[in-house]
Amino acid sequence: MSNPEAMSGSDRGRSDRDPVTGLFVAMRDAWLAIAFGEGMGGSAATRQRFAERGDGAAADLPSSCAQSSLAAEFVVPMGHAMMIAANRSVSYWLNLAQILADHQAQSIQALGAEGIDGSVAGSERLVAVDELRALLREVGDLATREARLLQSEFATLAESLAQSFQSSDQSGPYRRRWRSKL
Amino acid sequence: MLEQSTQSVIAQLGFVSEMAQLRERIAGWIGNCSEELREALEWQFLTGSKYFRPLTIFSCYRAMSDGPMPERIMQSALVIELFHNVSLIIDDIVDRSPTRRGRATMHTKFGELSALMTSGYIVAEGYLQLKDDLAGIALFSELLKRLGVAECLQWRLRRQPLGIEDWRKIAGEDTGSMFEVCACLGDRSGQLRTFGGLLGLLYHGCDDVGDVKGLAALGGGGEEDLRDGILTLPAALAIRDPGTAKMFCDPEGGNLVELGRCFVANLPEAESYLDKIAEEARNEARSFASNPLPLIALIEQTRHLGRY
Repeated sequence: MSNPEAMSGSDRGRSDRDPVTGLFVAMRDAWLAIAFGEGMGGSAATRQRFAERGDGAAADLPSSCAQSSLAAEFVVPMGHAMMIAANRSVSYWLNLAQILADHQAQSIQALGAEGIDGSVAGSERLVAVDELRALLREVGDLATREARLLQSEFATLAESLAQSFQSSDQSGPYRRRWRSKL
Repeated sequence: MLEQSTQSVIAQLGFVSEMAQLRERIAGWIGNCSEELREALEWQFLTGSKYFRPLTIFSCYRAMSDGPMPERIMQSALVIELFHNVSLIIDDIVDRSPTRRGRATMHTKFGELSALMTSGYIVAEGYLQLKDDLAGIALFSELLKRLGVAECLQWRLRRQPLGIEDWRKIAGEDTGSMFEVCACLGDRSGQLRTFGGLLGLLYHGCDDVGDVKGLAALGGGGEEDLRDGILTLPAALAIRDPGTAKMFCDPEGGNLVELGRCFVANLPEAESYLDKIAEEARNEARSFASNPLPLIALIEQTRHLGRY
Protein backbone atom coordinates (compact mmCIF):
# COMPACT_ATOMS: atom_id res chain seq x y z
CA MET A 1 0.00 0.00 0.00
CA SER A 2 1.60 3.19 -1.09
CA ASN A 3 -0.31 5.37 1.33
CA PRO A 4 -1.49 3.51 4.44
CA GLU A 5 -2.83 6.57 6.18
CA ALA A 6 -4.93 7.50 3.19
CA MET A 7 -6.19 3.94 2.88
CA SER A 8 -7.08 3.98 6.54
CA GLY A 9 -9.07 7.13 5.87
CA SER A 10 -10.83 5.54 2.92
CA ASP A 11 -11.64 2.52 5.08
CA ARG A 12 -13.28 4.79 7.61
CA GLY A 13 -15.28 6.45 4.85
CA ARG A 14 -16.49 3.05 3.72
CA SER A 15 -17.46 2.12 7.27
CA ASP A 16 -19.58 5.23 7.59
CA ARG A 17 -21.65 4.17 4.59
CA ASP A 18 -21.92 0.47 5.43
CA PRO A 19 -24.56 -0.53 8.01
CA VAL A 20 -23.02 -3.99 8.43
CA THR A 21 -19.70 -2.42 9.38
CA GLY A 22 -21.52 -0.08 11.74
CA LEU A 23 -23.06 -3.07 13.52
CA PHE A 24 -19.68 -4.74 13.93
CA VAL A 25 -18.03 -1.53 15.11
CA ALA A 26 -20.67 -1.33 17.85
CA MET A 27 -20.06 -4.99 18.75
CA ARG A 28 -16.31 -4.42 18.86
CA ASP A 29 -16.69 -1.39 21.10
CA ALA A 30 -18.88 -3.36 23.47
CA TRP A 31 -16.41 -6.24 23.47
CA LEU A 32 -13.46 -3.94 24.11
CA ALA A 33 -15.30 -2.18 26.91
CA ILE A 34 -15.95 -5.52 28.60
CA ALA A 35 -12.41 -6.76 27.99
CA PHE A 36 -10.75 -3.68 29.46
CA GLY A 37 -13.39 -3.16 32.10
CA GLU A 38 -12.71 -6.62 33.53
CA GLY A 39 -9.06 -5.77 33.96
CA MET A 40 -7.45 -7.58 31.08
CA GLY A 41 -4.95 -4.78 31.12
CA GLY A 42 -3.17 -3.18 28.22
CA SER A 43 -0.88 -0.25 27.83
CA ALA A 44 -2.76 3.03 27.73
CA ALA A 45 -0.21 4.39 25.30
CA THR A 46 -0.74 1.49 22.91
CA ARG A 47 -4.51 1.84 23.13
CA GLN A 48 -4.16 5.54 22.45
CA ARG A 49 -1.85 4.99 19.46
CA PHE A 50 -4.12 2.37 17.95
CA ALA A 51 -7.26 4.38 18.56
CA GLU A 52 -5.76 7.30 16.67
CA ARG A 53 -5.56 5.07 13.61
CA GLY A 54 -8.83 3.23 14.20
CA ASP A 55 -12.29 4.51 14.83
CA GLY A 56 -11.39 6.20 18.09
CA ALA A 57 -13.40 3.73 20.15
CA ALA A 58 -10.53 2.54 22.30
CA ALA A 59 -9.58 6.09 23.31
CA ASP A 60 -12.61 6.31 25.60
CA LEU A 61 -11.67 3.24 27.61
CA PRO A 62 -11.05 3.65 31.34
CA SER A 63 -7.44 4.48 32.20
CA SER A 64 -7.59 2.43 35.40
CA CYS A 65 -6.66 -0.72 33.45
CA ALA A 66 -3.29 0.53 32.28
CA GLN A 67 -1.22 -2.41 33.46
CA SER A 68 1.05 -3.67 30.74
CA SER A 69 0.95 -7.19 29.49
CA LEU A 70 2.14 -8.56 26.19
CA ALA A 71 -1.14 -10.40 25.58
CA ALA A 72 -3.19 -7.25 26.07
CA GLU A 73 -1.14 -5.39 23.46
CA PHE A 74 -2.78 -7.62 20.89
CA VAL A 75 -6.35 -7.46 22.15
CA VAL A 76 -7.36 -4.31 20.25
CA PRO A 77 -5.88 -5.25 16.86
CA MET A 78 -7.16 -8.81 17.18
CA GLY A 79 -10.61 -7.47 17.92
CA HIS A 80 -10.34 -5.23 14.89
CA ALA A 81 -9.18 -8.15 12.72
CA MET A 82 -12.07 -10.30 13.89
CA MET A 83 -14.48 -7.49 13.10
CA ILE A 84 -13.05 -7.10 9.61
CA ALA A 85 -13.27 -10.83 8.93
CA ALA A 86 -16.81 -11.07 10.27
CA ASN A 87 -17.84 -8.01 8.30
CA ARG A 88 -16.49 -9.44 5.05
CA SER A 89 -18.21 -12.73 5.73
CA VAL A 90 -21.58 -11.08 6.32
CA SER A 91 -21.07 -8.81 3.32
CA TYR A 92 -20.35 -11.86 1.14
CA TRP A 93 -23.53 -13.64 2.18
CA LEU A 94 -25.69 -10.53 1.81
CA ASN A 95 -24.32 -9.82 -1.66
CA LEU A 96 -24.69 -13.46 -2.65
CA ALA A 97 -28.35 -13.33 -1.61
CA GLN A 98 -28.76 -10.17 -3.68
CA ILE A 99 -27.24 -11.81 -6.76
CA LEU A 100 -29.45 -14.88 -6.39
CA ALA A 101 -32.51 -12.67 -5.96
CA ASP A 102 -31.59 -10.65 -9.06
CA HIS A 103 -31.28 -13.79 -11.17
CA GLN A 104 -34.26 -15.62 -9.67
CA ALA A 105 -36.89 -14.32 -12.08
CA GLN A 106 -34.94 -15.20 -15.21
CA SER A 107 -33.99 -18.63 -13.87
CA ILE A 108 -37.60 -19.47 -13.04
CA GLN A 109 -38.64 -18.26 -16.48
CA ALA A 110 -36.05 -20.51 -18.14
CA LEU A 111 -36.94 -23.53 -16.04
CA GLY A 112 -40.68 -22.87 -16.48
CA ALA A 113 -40.39 -22.80 -20.27
CA GLU A 114 -38.78 -26.20 -20.20
CA GLY A 115 -41.28 -27.55 -17.66
CA ILE A 116 -44.37 -26.85 -19.76
CA ASP A 117 -43.65 -28.97 -22.80
CA GLY A 118 -40.33 -30.56 -21.83
CA SER A 119 -38.46 -28.95 -24.69
CA VAL A 120 -36.91 -25.57 -25.28
CA ALA A 121 -36.22 -23.91 -28.61
CA GLY A 122 -32.52 -23.48 -29.48
CA SER A 123 -32.54 -19.71 -29.01
CA GLU A 124 -34.33 -19.95 -25.64
CA ARG A 125 -31.83 -22.53 -24.48
CA LEU A 126 -28.99 -20.19 -25.46
CA VAL A 127 -30.57 -17.35 -23.47
CA ALA A 128 -31.01 -19.63 -20.44
CA VAL A 129 -27.40 -20.84 -20.65
CA ASP A 130 -26.17 -17.25 -20.99
CA GLU A 131 -28.20 -16.31 -17.91
CA LEU A 132 -26.70 -19.18 -15.92
CA ARG A 133 -23.19 -18.22 -17.03
CA ALA A 134 -23.80 -14.63 -15.90
CA LEU A 135 -24.96 -15.92 -12.50
CA LEU A 136 -21.86 -18.11 -12.09
CA ARG A 137 -19.56 -15.26 -13.14
CA GLU A 138 -21.14 -12.85 -10.70
CA VAL A 139 -20.90 -15.37 -7.82
CA GLY A 140 -17.23 -16.00 -8.65
CA ASP A 141 -16.48 -12.28 -9.01
CA LEU A 142 -18.14 -11.60 -5.66
CA ALA A 143 -15.96 -14.16 -3.86
CA THR A 144 -12.82 -12.69 -5.43
CA ARG A 145 -13.85 -9.14 -4.62
CA GLU A 146 -14.61 -9.87 -0.96
CA ALA A 147 -11.30 -11.75 -0.64
CA ARG A 148 -9.43 -8.78 -2.14
CA LEU A 149 -11.21 -6.40 0.22
CA LEU A 150 -10.29 -8.63 3.16
CA GLN A 151 -6.68 -8.71 2.04
CA SER A 152 -6.61 -4.93 1.59
CA GLU A 153 -8.19 -4.24 4.99
CA PHE A 154 -5.84 -6.68 6.75
CA ALA A 155 -2.86 -5.04 5.03
CA THR A 156 -4.01 -1.64 6.33
CA LEU A 157 -4.47 -3.08 9.82
CA ALA A 158 -1.05 -4.74 9.71
CA GLU A 159 0.52 -1.43 8.68
CA SER A 160 -1.20 0.40 11.57
CA LEU A 161 -0.05 -2.35 13.93
CA ALA A 162 3.53 -2.09 12.73
CA GLN A 163 3.52 1.69 13.22
CA SER A 164 1.85 1.45 16.65
CA PHE A 165 4.44 -0.97 17.98
CA GLN A 166 7.51 0.78 16.60
CA SER A 167 9.66 1.66 19.57
CA SER A 168 10.52 5.33 19.89
CA ASP A 169 14.31 4.87 20.08
CA GLN A 170 14.33 3.71 16.43
CA SER A 171 13.90 7.29 15.32
CA GLY A 172 17.26 8.20 16.84
CA PRO A 173 20.65 7.65 15.24
CA TYR A 174 21.35 4.05 14.47
CA ARG A 175 24.00 2.53 16.73
CA ARG A 176 25.61 -0.63 15.66
CA ARG A 177 26.24 -3.13 18.41
CA TRP A 178 29.65 -4.59 18.11
CA ARG A 179 32.13 -6.45 20.11
CA SER A 180 35.81 -6.50 19.33
CA LYS A 181 37.27 -9.83 18.43
CA LEU A 182 40.08 -10.75 20.69
CA MET B 1 -16.93 18.06 -29.31
CA LEU B 2 -15.27 14.76 -28.41
CA GLU B 3 -11.81 16.33 -28.48
CA GLN B 4 -13.09 19.19 -26.30
CA SER B 5 -14.59 16.85 -23.71
CA THR B 6 -11.38 14.80 -23.45
CA GLN B 7 -9.37 18.01 -23.10
CA SER B 8 -11.71 19.22 -20.38
CA VAL B 9 -11.24 15.97 -18.42
CA ILE B 10 -7.46 16.32 -18.77
CA ALA B 11 -7.74 19.88 -17.41
CA GLN B 12 -10.18 18.84 -14.68
CA LEU B 13 -7.80 16.13 -13.46
CA GLY B 14 -4.80 18.48 -13.62
CA PHE B 15 -2.80 16.57 -16.24
CA VAL B 16 -2.32 19.40 -18.77
CA SER B 17 1.44 19.65 -18.24
CA GLU B 18 1.89 15.84 -18.23
CA MET B 19 0.03 15.64 -21.55
CA ALA B 20 2.18 18.42 -23.01
CA GLN B 21 5.27 16.52 -21.84
CA LEU B 22 3.94 13.36 -23.44
CA ARG B 23 3.41 15.11 -26.79
CA GLU B 24 6.96 16.45 -26.62
CA ARG B 25 8.30 12.97 -25.86
CA ILE B 26 6.45 11.48 -28.82
CA ALA B 27 7.75 14.21 -31.14
CA GLY B 28 11.28 13.76 -29.76
CA TRP B 29 11.08 10.01 -30.18
CA ILE B 30 9.95 10.33 -33.82
CA GLY B 31 12.82 12.75 -34.43
CA ASN B 32 15.29 10.03 -33.39
CA CYS B 33 13.69 7.26 -35.47
CA SER B 34 14.91 6.08 -38.87
CA GLU B 35 14.39 8.65 -41.61
CA GLU B 36 12.92 5.91 -43.77
CA LEU B 37 9.90 5.58 -41.47
CA ARG B 38 9.68 9.11 -40.10
CA GLU B 39 6.95 10.35 -42.44
CA ALA B 40 4.76 7.34 -41.67
CA LEU B 41 5.32 7.77 -37.94
CA GLU B 42 4.44 11.46 -38.08
CA TRP B 43 1.32 10.58 -40.07
CA GLN B 44 0.27 8.09 -37.39
CA PHE B 45 1.23 9.90 -34.21
CA LEU B 46 1.13 13.64 -34.60
CA THR B 47 -2.59 14.20 -35.12
CA GLY B 48 -5.92 13.18 -33.73
CA SER B 49 -5.06 11.05 -30.70
CA LYS B 50 -7.25 11.46 -27.62
CA TYR B 51 -4.46 10.06 -25.39
CA PHE B 52 -7.10 8.27 -23.33
CA ARG B 53 -4.78 5.39 -22.43
CA PRO B 54 -1.99 7.65 -21.09
CA LEU B 55 -4.74 9.56 -19.26
CA THR B 56 -5.81 6.26 -17.65
CA ILE B 57 -2.22 5.59 -16.51
CA PHE B 58 -1.93 9.08 -15.01
CA SER B 59 -5.32 8.80 -13.31
CA CYS B 60 -4.54 5.39 -11.80
CA TYR B 61 -1.24 6.75 -10.46
CA ARG B 62 -3.03 9.76 -8.95
CA ALA B 63 -5.76 7.54 -7.47
CA MET B 64 -3.15 5.80 -5.33
CA SER B 65 -0.32 8.33 -4.91
CA ASP B 66 0.28 12.06 -4.51
CA GLY B 67 3.18 14.11 -5.75
CA PRO B 68 4.74 14.71 -9.15
CA MET B 69 4.47 12.06 -11.85
CA PRO B 70 7.58 9.83 -11.68
CA GLU B 71 9.73 9.18 -14.77
CA ARG B 72 8.59 5.54 -14.85
CA ILE B 73 4.96 6.65 -15.28
CA MET B 74 5.83 9.12 -18.08
CA GLN B 75 7.78 6.35 -19.81
CA SER B 76 4.84 3.95 -19.51
CA ALA B 77 2.49 6.60 -20.93
CA LEU B 78 4.71 7.01 -23.99
CA VAL B 79 4.99 3.26 -24.58
CA ILE B 80 1.25 2.59 -24.15
CA GLU B 81 0.58 5.20 -26.84
CA LEU B 82 3.13 3.47 -29.10
CA PHE B 83 1.62 0.01 -28.56
CA HIS B 84 -1.94 1.31 -28.90
CA ASN B 85 -1.04 2.72 -32.30
CA VAL B 86 0.44 -0.64 -33.32
CA SER B 87 -2.93 -2.24 -32.55
CA LEU B 88 -4.69 0.48 -34.61
CA ILE B 89 -2.41 -0.04 -37.63
CA ILE B 90 -2.97 -3.83 -37.56
CA ASP B 91 -6.75 -3.43 -37.00
CA ASP B 92 -7.01 -1.07 -39.96
CA ILE B 93 -5.20 -3.54 -42.21
CA VAL B 94 -7.34 -6.48 -41.03
CA ASP B 95 -10.60 -4.49 -41.28
CA ARG B 96 -9.56 -2.96 -44.64
CA SER B 97 -10.44 0.46 -43.22
CA PRO B 98 -9.59 3.31 -45.61
CA THR B 99 -9.79 6.07 -42.98
CA ARG B 100 -9.28 6.67 -39.26
CA ARG B 101 -9.78 9.91 -37.33
CA GLY B 102 -10.99 11.48 -40.57
CA ARG B 103 -7.83 10.82 -42.61
CA ALA B 104 -6.27 7.98 -44.61
CA THR B 105 -5.06 4.99 -42.57
CA MET B 106 -1.34 4.21 -42.61
CA HIS B 107 -1.64 1.26 -44.99
CA THR B 108 -3.81 3.28 -47.37
CA LYS B 109 -1.29 6.13 -47.44
CA PHE B 110 2.01 4.21 -47.35
CA GLY B 111 1.07 0.65 -48.39
CA GLU B 112 0.63 -2.55 -46.39
CA LEU B 113 4.32 -3.49 -46.33
CA SER B 114 5.34 -0.15 -44.84
CA ALA B 115 2.47 -0.27 -42.34
CA LEU B 116 3.41 -3.78 -41.16
CA MET B 117 7.14 -3.03 -40.94
CA THR B 118 6.48 0.26 -39.15
CA SER B 119 4.31 -1.49 -36.55
CA GLY B 120 7.15 -3.99 -35.87
CA TYR B 121 9.59 -1.09 -35.57
CA ILE B 122 7.31 0.66 -33.05
CA VAL B 123 7.09 -2.47 -30.86
CA ALA B 124 10.89 -2.82 -30.77
CA GLU B 125 11.24 0.90 -29.97
CA GLY B 126 8.62 0.58 -27.21
CA TYR B 127 10.65 -2.07 -25.42
CA LEU B 128 13.82 0.03 -25.80
CA GLN B 129 12.05 3.00 -24.22
CA LEU B 130 11.20 0.90 -21.13
CA LYS B 131 14.93 0.47 -20.38
CA ASP B 132 15.28 -1.36 -17.04
CA ASP B 133 11.60 -1.26 -16.03
CA LEU B 134 11.21 -5.04 -15.75
CA ALA B 135 7.68 -4.91 -14.31
CA GLY B 136 6.67 -2.61 -17.18
CA ILE B 137 8.23 -4.99 -19.74
CA ALA B 138 6.24 -7.88 -18.25
CA LEU B 139 3.00 -5.86 -18.41
CA PHE B 140 3.55 -4.78 -22.03
CA SER B 141 4.36 -8.37 -23.00
CA GLU B 142 1.14 -9.51 -21.34
CA LEU B 143 -0.73 -6.84 -23.31
CA LEU B 144 0.65 -7.81 -26.73
CA LYS B 145 -0.01 -11.50 -26.11
CA ARG B 146 -3.58 -10.91 -24.94
CA LEU B 147 -4.38 -8.53 -27.79
CA GLY B 148 -3.16 -11.14 -30.29
CA VAL B 149 -5.24 -13.88 -28.69
CA ALA B 150 -8.32 -11.60 -28.51
CA GLU B 151 -8.18 -10.75 -32.22
CA CYS B 152 -7.97 -14.45 -33.16
CA LEU B 153 -10.78 -15.34 -30.72
CA GLN B 154 -13.02 -12.58 -32.05
CA TRP B 155 -12.45 -13.66 -35.64
CA ARG B 156 -13.00 -17.38 -34.89
CA LEU B 157 -16.28 -16.64 -33.07
CA ARG B 158 -17.78 -14.41 -35.79
CA ARG B 159 -21.24 -15.21 -37.21
CA GLN B 160 -22.09 -17.53 -34.34
CA PRO B 161 -25.22 -17.39 -32.17
CA LEU B 162 -23.43 -16.52 -28.92
CA GLY B 163 -24.48 -14.55 -25.85
CA ILE B 164 -23.55 -11.56 -23.72
CA GLU B 165 -21.15 -13.63 -21.64
CA ASP B 166 -19.21 -14.43 -24.81
CA TRP B 167 -19.17 -10.74 -25.66
CA ARG B 168 -17.77 -10.00 -22.18
CA LYS B 169 -15.03 -12.57 -22.69
CA ILE B 170 -13.97 -11.16 -26.07
CA ALA B 171 -14.22 -7.50 -25.00
CA GLY B 172 -12.44 -8.29 -21.72
CA GLU B 173 -9.45 -9.74 -23.57
CA ASP B 174 -9.45 -7.06 -26.27
CA THR B 175 -10.02 -3.55 -24.89
CA GLY B 176 -10.25 -4.92 -21.35
CA SER B 177 -6.65 -6.15 -21.41
CA MET B 178 -5.44 -2.76 -22.71
CA PHE B 179 -7.02 -0.88 -19.80
CA GLU B 180 -6.09 -3.54 -17.24
CA VAL B 181 -2.47 -3.04 -18.22
CA CYS B 182 -2.87 0.77 -18.12
CA ALA B 183 -4.22 0.49 -14.56
CA CYS B 184 -1.34 -1.78 -13.52
CA LEU B 185 1.21 0.56 -15.11
CA GLY B 186 -0.24 3.52 -13.19
CA ASP B 187 -0.48 1.65 -9.89
CA ARG B 188 2.11 -1.09 -9.73
CA SER B 189 0.47 -2.78 -6.71
CA GLY B 190 -2.16 -4.45 -8.92
CA GLN B 191 -5.01 -3.13 -6.75
CA LEU B 192 -6.63 -1.39 -9.74
CA ARG B 193 -6.36 -4.24 -12.25
CA THR B 194 -10.04 -5.18 -11.99
CA PHE B 195 -11.03 -1.53 -12.27
CA GLY B 196 -8.98 -1.28 -15.47
CA GLY B 197 -10.65 -4.38 -16.88
CA LEU B 198 -14.11 -2.94 -16.19
CA LEU B 199 -13.15 0.41 -17.73
CA GLY B 200 -11.94 -1.41 -20.85
CA LEU B 201 -15.13 -3.44 -21.03
CA LEU B 202 -17.13 -0.23 -20.73
CA TYR B 203 -15.04 1.45 -23.44
CA HIS B 204 -15.49 -1.52 -25.78
CA GLY B 205 -19.26 -1.58 -25.17
CA CYS B 206 -19.59 2.19 -25.69
CA ASP B 207 -17.62 1.81 -28.94
CA ASP B 208 -20.01 -0.94 -30.08
CA VAL B 209 -23.05 1.19 -29.25
CA GLY B 210 -21.50 4.28 -30.88
CA ASP B 211 -20.86 2.28 -34.05
CA VAL B 212 -24.49 1.19 -34.25
CA LYS B 213 -25.58 4.77 -33.76
CA GLY B 214 -23.58 5.47 -36.91
CA LEU B 215 -21.14 7.70 -35.17
CA ALA B 216 -17.40 7.63 -34.96
CA ALA B 217 -17.21 9.16 -31.50
CA LEU B 218 -14.69 6.59 -30.26
CA GLY B 219 -12.62 6.42 -33.43
CA GLY B 220 -14.21 3.31 -34.92
CA GLY B 221 -16.08 3.04 -38.20
CA GLY B 222 -18.96 0.68 -37.49
CA GLU B 223 -19.86 -1.03 -40.74
CA GLU B 224 -16.91 -3.44 -40.64
CA ASP B 225 -18.19 -5.31 -37.57
CA LEU B 226 -21.65 -5.63 -39.08
CA ARG B 227 -20.26 -6.85 -42.40
CA ASP B 228 -17.90 -9.40 -40.77
CA GLY B 229 -20.43 -10.75 -38.25
CA ILE B 230 -18.38 -9.63 -35.22
CA LEU B 231 -20.06 -10.17 -31.85
CA THR B 232 -20.68 -6.65 -30.53
CA LEU B 233 -22.85 -5.81 -27.50
CA PRO B 234 -25.92 -4.79 -29.55
CA ALA B 235 -25.40 -7.92 -31.70
CA ALA B 236 -25.25 -10.20 -28.64
CA LEU B 237 -28.54 -8.72 -27.40
CA ALA B 238 -30.27 -8.73 -30.80
CA ILE B 239 -29.46 -12.33 -31.75
CA ARG B 240 -31.44 -13.69 -28.82
CA ASP B 241 -34.28 -13.38 -31.33
CA PRO B 242 -34.13 -16.48 -33.61
CA GLY B 243 -34.90 -14.48 -36.80
CA THR B 244 -32.11 -11.99 -36.14
CA ALA B 245 -29.72 -14.81 -35.20
CA LYS B 246 -30.40 -16.44 -38.58
CA MET B 247 -29.56 -13.21 -40.43
CA PHE B 248 -26.46 -12.64 -38.28
CA CYS B 249 -25.11 -16.15 -38.89
CA ASP B 250 -25.71 -16.04 -42.66
CA PRO B 251 -22.23 -16.62 -44.22
CA GLU B 252 -23.22 -14.54 -47.27
CA GLY B 253 -23.68 -11.44 -45.11
CA GLY B 254 -27.46 -11.40 -45.64
CA ASN B 255 -29.53 -8.28 -45.27
CA LEU B 256 -27.20 -5.85 -43.48
CA VAL B 257 -29.70 -2.99 -43.45
CA GLU B 258 -32.34 -5.09 -41.70
CA LEU B 259 -29.73 -6.51 -39.33
CA GLY B 260 -28.63 -2.96 -38.50
CA ARG B 261 -32.26 -2.08 -37.67
CA CYS B 262 -32.46 -5.04 -35.27
CA PHE B 263 -29.29 -3.84 -33.54
CA VAL B 264 -30.71 -0.30 -33.23
CA ALA B 265 -33.86 -1.73 -31.61
CA ASN B 266 -31.67 -3.25 -28.90
CA LEU B 267 -29.76 -0.04 -28.10
CA PRO B 268 -31.80 0.87 -24.97
CA GLU B 269 -31.00 -2.53 -23.45
CA ALA B 270 -27.34 -2.14 -24.45
CA GLU B 271 -27.24 1.28 -22.75
CA SER B 272 -28.74 -0.17 -19.62
CA TYR B 273 -26.17 -3.00 -19.62
CA LEU B 274 -23.38 -0.41 -19.97
CA ASP B 275 -24.81 1.52 -17.02
CA LYS B 276 -24.45 -1.66 -14.96
CA ILE B 277 -20.80 -2.07 -16.00
CA ALA B 278 -20.17 1.62 -15.18
CA GLU B 279 -21.65 1.08 -11.71
CA GLU B 280 -19.45 -1.99 -11.16
CA ALA B 281 -16.42 0.10 -12.13
CA ARG B 282 -17.44 2.92 -9.74
CA ASN B 283 -17.80 0.44 -6.87
CA GLU B 284 -14.40 -1.02 -7.67
CA ALA B 285 -12.83 2.46 -7.67
CA ARG B 286 -14.47 3.40 -4.36
CA SER B 287 -13.39 0.13 -2.72
CA PHE B 288 -9.75 -0.01 -3.80
CA ALA B 289 -8.48 3.51 -4.56
CA SER B 290 -7.25 5.95 -1.91
CA ASN B 291 -8.63 8.74 -4.07
CA PRO B 292 -11.32 7.39 -6.44
CA LEU B 293 -12.21 10.75 -8.03
CA PRO B 294 -9.84 10.55 -11.05
CA LEU B 295 -11.10 7.03 -11.77
CA ILE B 296 -14.74 8.06 -11.55
CA ALA B 297 -13.99 10.93 -13.97
CA LEU B 298 -12.60 8.37 -16.43
CA ILE B 299 -15.77 6.27 -16.14
CA GLU B 300 -18.01 9.27 -16.72
CA GLN B 301 -15.92 10.35 -19.71
CA THR B 302 -16.09 6.87 -21.28
CA ARG B 303 -19.81 6.59 -20.66
CA HIS B 304 -20.30 10.06 -22.13
CA LEU B 305 -18.47 9.09 -25.35
CA GLY B 306 -20.93 6.28 -26.03
CA ARG B 307 -23.86 8.67 -25.72
CA TYR B 308 -22.97 10.93 -28.66
